Formats: sequence, structure tokens, C-alpha cells
Amino acid sequence: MKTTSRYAMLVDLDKCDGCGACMVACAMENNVPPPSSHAKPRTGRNWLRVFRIQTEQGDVHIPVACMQCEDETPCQSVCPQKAVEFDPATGIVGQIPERCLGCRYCMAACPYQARVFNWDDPQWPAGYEATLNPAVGVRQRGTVEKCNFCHGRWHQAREQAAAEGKPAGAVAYTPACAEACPSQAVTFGDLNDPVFAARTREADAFRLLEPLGTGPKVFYRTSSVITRKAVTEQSHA
Amino acid sequence: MIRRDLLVFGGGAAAGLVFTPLPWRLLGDSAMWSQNWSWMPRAPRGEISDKEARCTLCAGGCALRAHLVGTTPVSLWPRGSALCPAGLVAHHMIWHPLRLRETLHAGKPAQADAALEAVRARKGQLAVLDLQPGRTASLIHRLHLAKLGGTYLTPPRVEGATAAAMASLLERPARLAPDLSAAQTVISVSTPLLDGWATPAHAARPNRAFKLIQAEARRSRTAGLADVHLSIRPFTETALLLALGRILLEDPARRAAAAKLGGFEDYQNAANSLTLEEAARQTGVTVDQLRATARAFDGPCAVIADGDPVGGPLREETRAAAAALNVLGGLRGFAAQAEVPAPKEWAGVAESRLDAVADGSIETLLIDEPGPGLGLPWLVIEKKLAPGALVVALTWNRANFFGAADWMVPAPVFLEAAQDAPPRYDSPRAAWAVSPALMPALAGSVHAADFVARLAGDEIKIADRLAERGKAVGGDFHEFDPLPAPRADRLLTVAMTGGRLARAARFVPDGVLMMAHGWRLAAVSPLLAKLWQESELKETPHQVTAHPDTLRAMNVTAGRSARLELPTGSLTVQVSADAAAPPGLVSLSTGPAWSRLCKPDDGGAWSARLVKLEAIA
Repeated sequence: MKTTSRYAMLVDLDKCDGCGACMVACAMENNVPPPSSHAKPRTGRNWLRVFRIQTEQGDVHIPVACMQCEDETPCQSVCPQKAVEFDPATGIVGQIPERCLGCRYCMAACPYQARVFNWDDPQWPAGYEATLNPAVGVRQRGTVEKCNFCHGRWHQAREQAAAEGKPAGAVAYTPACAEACPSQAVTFGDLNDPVFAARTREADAFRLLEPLGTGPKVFYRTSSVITRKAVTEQSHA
Repeated sequence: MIRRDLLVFGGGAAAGLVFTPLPWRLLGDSAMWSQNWSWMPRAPRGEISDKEARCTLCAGGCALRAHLVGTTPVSLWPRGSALCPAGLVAHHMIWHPLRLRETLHAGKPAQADAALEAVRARKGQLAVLDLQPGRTASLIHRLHLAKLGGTYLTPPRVEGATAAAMASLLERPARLAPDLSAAQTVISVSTPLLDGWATPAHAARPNRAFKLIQAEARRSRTAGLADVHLSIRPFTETALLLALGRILLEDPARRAAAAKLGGFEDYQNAANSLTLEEAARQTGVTVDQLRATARAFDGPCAVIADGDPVGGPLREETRAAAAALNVLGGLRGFAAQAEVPAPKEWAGVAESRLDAVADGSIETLLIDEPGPGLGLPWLVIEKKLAPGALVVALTWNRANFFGAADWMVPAPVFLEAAQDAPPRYDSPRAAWAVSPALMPALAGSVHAADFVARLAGDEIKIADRLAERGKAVGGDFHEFDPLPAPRADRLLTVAMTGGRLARAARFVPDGVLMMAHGWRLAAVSPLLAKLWQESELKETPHQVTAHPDTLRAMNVTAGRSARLELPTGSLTVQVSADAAAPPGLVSLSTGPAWSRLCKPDDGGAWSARLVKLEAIA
């Protein structure tokens, strides 16, 4: 299939102050429930998690979600159920909960630890069902899930483009985290767009665990050498 | 056709079926069916629409877009501005597990009208304690209290406390605000400037233009994000501020200008009572660091020593020292705030501070708690009540005043009733932000302004009052330009003379100290627990942090539960160790029930002192 888009994310670490608005917006958009009583950072269900790294220049915050790897996508290659699919039309690595057996091979294969497992059935306090996003389904216990660049929003943008008679192909949309970020540290775009692609190729832009050759499509930038070194070291640790 | 053909056809069809989409479709459908158990929550269905509103949880008044299914808001998104994490889930308050859903009298279900009759039947003076002053509802309270002969009370100020202390140094008191956009450097003293202080979505912008120097004992989130973290010893803020003042007074030009101000000699005596070496010894900050910090006053600089909105204000002496330092610095980085207009006929009773009211004098108290994070330590309120006083809390939650108030009447929450945000105190630009009601209010809930209006025999609802004020403002949402900072008349208020400031600067506490802090908007939604339980962005409510040596001395192990005993009670906490924490300090991250833990001291600070921390077997 001809690739029409290669959606990607660019996170400006100099602007991120770790407020967590992206995490909350992601949970709200994708119907991720509040943590159960025994949930911990390692067993949490955040599709997007902001890590804090202490450096000599102060604290650095780094939002980490699925990197949407496009080369030899590690999670896709190990899934026995074909529950992980790389969509060449968007460049998004999709997760299909209906097919997922919960074997968690994909979690073991993911070098970014960007996947989460539903240890419990999703539960909201009484009445909160009324606030669920009708555009996104609720996943049950025993399935793996992860960031899909707000695929529901992509569908809505595509339908709207069709309704407006716009040509099929690349559509512009914004995932919840990018929309919610108060400091505009998270930006979203298409690598087929020369302007956005140029920003990801600037000297101060980098990707996590780039030597693995998985072709992650989440880029980071910082003008601070200390921040870049700390983030790179931490991601290798 | 022979039997063999039938068998071949049957066998071929069975084998061929595997290569058709049918089995896969069956598998897919049954998998989907297995995802839809009756106990799985279902998203709402209905007409989808977007409506514009303003977040009124805090003074920020951030513009937002509410995404609705039918009449129910399912998500909130920033509209041309920014929203903090709490603002993003502000609509969750409607279903919050802590929400008060019915009127309670002595803990039992009752009617709101009965609460109204109980207040009417009561003899003695009526007082309204407004926990979020500055709103239109506040003006209406004052208007009706003028008719009823009552008193309008506001809580002790934490956010904006420094600006309020500075206003008392002016010949003509004005509403002062730190002009962070004009400041080159901001010295924040034990104030969570980048972590929920004042208007979070505005203040927390990391692409700020000013250099931030954070003077704080613990490595808070603000300290971690600051350009410089001055790790001072706990409770030595006054000594630090006086030492900076002493350095500024070494400049003859600055000293000559300050000498013309009232209270100069008192301030100079206080500053000179502490040598720089002594200040360095007390605070743990070297003399070179003190001098480097004082160089911030070469350009526009603002000193903010408000304290923690949850942990409580700093001592009065500390606020006075910060105010004097701002005056010595020439009030650069501060501006006067223009008032949002209101109809002239709304003039009501004057505002009184709760802490200025005589102890044991209030006979009937109505408490207006319209939103989260506004609680006040009950001990602050209780000591002002006369014996047998009647207390009616018009509140959104059932945690803060349960067991304390005689009546608890549910109040409508954000998006259920039209309401406006209070004025911003971290911005010189006054703004008026109004949010319409997007969904029907909870049955039986009563807006505090409507409750007081009915007591005064007025039937005009708060929604109509907002529309009336809208006409006075002259349009939709407006921002009002700041005024230049007025000239200060004094360096110190009369209350600070007599060596109080000097004594406060020499106060060096000993033993194990406890510092309370927290995030005031933590109670907006259970989803916010992701910020501490499923990540480590914020400290878990009821978590104590201390240096490993301090924990070892107390025989407490990190990662375990412990019993924390305070003068006001005890609670179970989780213990964590932090090698960066100053020895001898235990910091407590408080939860939604914090208001029962803090006790005010004689300087107006609420911080609780540690009695005991012991491991739970």
C-alpha cells in the first residue's frame, strides 16, 4: 500500500516542565481508567508517561509513549496473534485488543517499555461512565495496550475531510497530548511534510535508542548538552 | 451425481472454508463479543457538540472547549490558551466520590429549606466565610449582608500574601500583583511558584522570561525546575530575607533612598542584628551565595514569600521581610491591579479577615466552599466560634466539614451553575472570566449566593447577577490593563517594630521539624492519581520524605508504612527516603483531608510540628 502519511511527534524537552497534562489528557481521550488501589508506576496503565531525570542543571522531564517504530517493528514481529499491525498508510503501529491474548511478548520486545498490561477490568467511580469518550472503546482485563497517536481522532479527521469533499490521503489532526500540553512542548506532524521533517532533522533533535535501528517516530529536541546526555544515558540504562 | 462427488464436495467445502474470511470473521466477532461483558463500562451515546466556557477552579479563568455528549461534558480542552491537568478533568467534579449529594443535618439526610429556617430562627450576628473571595457571588454576599447586618469574612491569605503585606506599606493601599512578565529575576521563598501556585496554567510556563531563584528547604518540584535552588535550612526564611536586605543597604544610593521611608531605622536595626556570617550559618547558604542572590536586584526583581497554598502561609515576619525587600528593590516587578467593574448599587459590607475577628465571637456562620482546594484548617475557624454557634457549610464535598458543621448543604459545581473566576493575584492584568452552566445542577443543590439572597428576601439568582455584571463590564470577557506600581511609603508596618523581625530572624528551630506541602487541586478527579500513583511526577498524598539519616535516627524504614503523630491527630503515612533532603526535616505531602492536620501558630503559619514518627509493626 502506498504510504500517504508518516505521522510523528516532536517533544521539546526545554519546554516540558512535567506538569502531567499530557498524561491526564491521554487517559481522558482514550478511556484509560484511574489507577486501581494496587497500581504502581511499573504496573500502571499510562499510555504516555512522563519521567523525571535529575541533572546538575535541574530536573528534566521526558514524556515517553509508543515510538511507532517503522523499521522491523519489534512488537509486531513477536505477536503470535497479529494483534499488532503497522499501518503503512499512516505509519502508526496499531494495537487490536480484540485479538490480544495477553501473552505480553510485545511488552518484553519493546525496547522503550511503552506498553502496558491491563491487570484489572477497567473501573471508574460510580457515574464516571458518563464521561467516557464515545469514540474509543474500553479494553478488558488481560490485554496489552499502548499509544496509537489517538487513532480515533485520525478516523474522525478523515471522516470530516471526506464530508467536506477534501481529497483522500493525508489528513491533519492533533493527538490529545499535543492539544493539552500547556507549554506546547509536544508537537505533532507528518514526516512527509518537508517543514515538519526538517525540524526533526535539526542538529538538536534526537531519538531514543536510535542505534537499535527500529526507526522510532517520536523525536526529542533540547538545546542543552547536559539534558541530552542525561536523557540518552537514562534511556540506555 | 454419485456419492463420491458428494463426499468430495463436502470435504472440499470444509477445507476451502479455512481459506475464506468466514472463520476469521467468526473469531473476530466472538472476540469482540467477549470484550462486551455486562460489567464493562459503556461510553455514553447522544448528540455530540462543543461549547465554550472558562475554567473557574482557580483565578486563571482559562478558556476551554467542552466536548459534550447530549448535555454531559465528556472532555475539556484548552481553547487558545492552556489548561493545567486539573482543568482538563474539572468536569469530573460532578461525579467525584467525595461530592456532597444531599443536605445533611448532624450527619443525617435533611432539606436545604430546613437549613435556611434554622439560620432564620437563630438570634445573633450572621457571618459568611467566603473561601473563594473576589467572585461576583462574593459581592452579592456583601450586598445581602449589608441588609442582614452581618459580617463578610475571608480566609487568611496564602497566595498573594506578600503583595498584601506590601500593600500595607503604601500610603494608598492598592491591589498589588507580581508582574512576572516584567521581572528579570524572581526570588521565590518556600512558595511553589511552578507547581500549582495561583494560576497554574499561566505560572508554570517553562518558557518564562525571568530567572527563578527558589529558596526552599526541600527539593520541591519548583526547586527542581528553578534556575538556582538555594537549599536553606527549614524555617530560616526570615534570616535569608534580612541578610539580602542588609546587602542591599550596603549601597549608599539605595540606603539614602530608603532612609526617607517610614520604619527605616527599625528595618535597619533588624537587618544589622544579624551579620552575614551569622545568616549564612543559620540558613546554610554561603555569604558568596547571598551576595550573588542580592545581585538580582540590579535589574527588575520580585520577591514572593507567600508560602504553600496547602501547607499554609509563612510567618507574618517573613512576609514583612519580603515586602520590605521588594520596597528596597524599588518595587520593580510589581504593578497595581485594575479592578473588574461591578454595578455601583452593589456596594455592601466591608471585607474582614477571619484571623482579625475576636475569638469566640461568631454565633451563626455560613461557609461558602464552591470548589476544590479551598479548605481551611478547621482549628482556624473553630476558635472564632461562640459556644453553641450554628455552622452551615454550603459545600461541594463532604470531607472538609463533616462532623464539624451542623448543616451541610450541597453546592453546584463547575459547569452545573454559571460562575465567574476570582481575580488573578499573580498577574497585574485584572481579568473577568465567566463560565455558563452547561448541564443541569444536582437536584437539591443550592448556590451559596442564592442561599444568602433568600435569607435577605431577595429572589434574584446568581446567574442573573452575573448577566447584570456583564453589562457593567461592558461585554464578554475582558482584561483590564495594569496600573503602575504606587510609591511605597514605609519599609515596615508598625506591627513589625519592637524587634519582632530581628527576633524572628534569629529563630533557629531544633529537633526534628515537619513541613507540610501539597497540591491544592489534587481533589478534582481520581484520574489525577496518575500523577503520583502511576508515575512519580508528584508525591503521593500522605507520603513523608526525609533524609536516610533522619529516618535511621527515628528507627523508621523507607518504603514502609508509619504512624505520624501531630499535635492535631495522627495518620498513617508512607515513608520515602531522599538523600537530597536536609537532615532533621520530615516533609509531609498532604491529601484531601489536610485541613484537619494543620494548626496555626502565633505567627499565622499553619505548618504542623512533628510529635512522633514511628514504624508500624
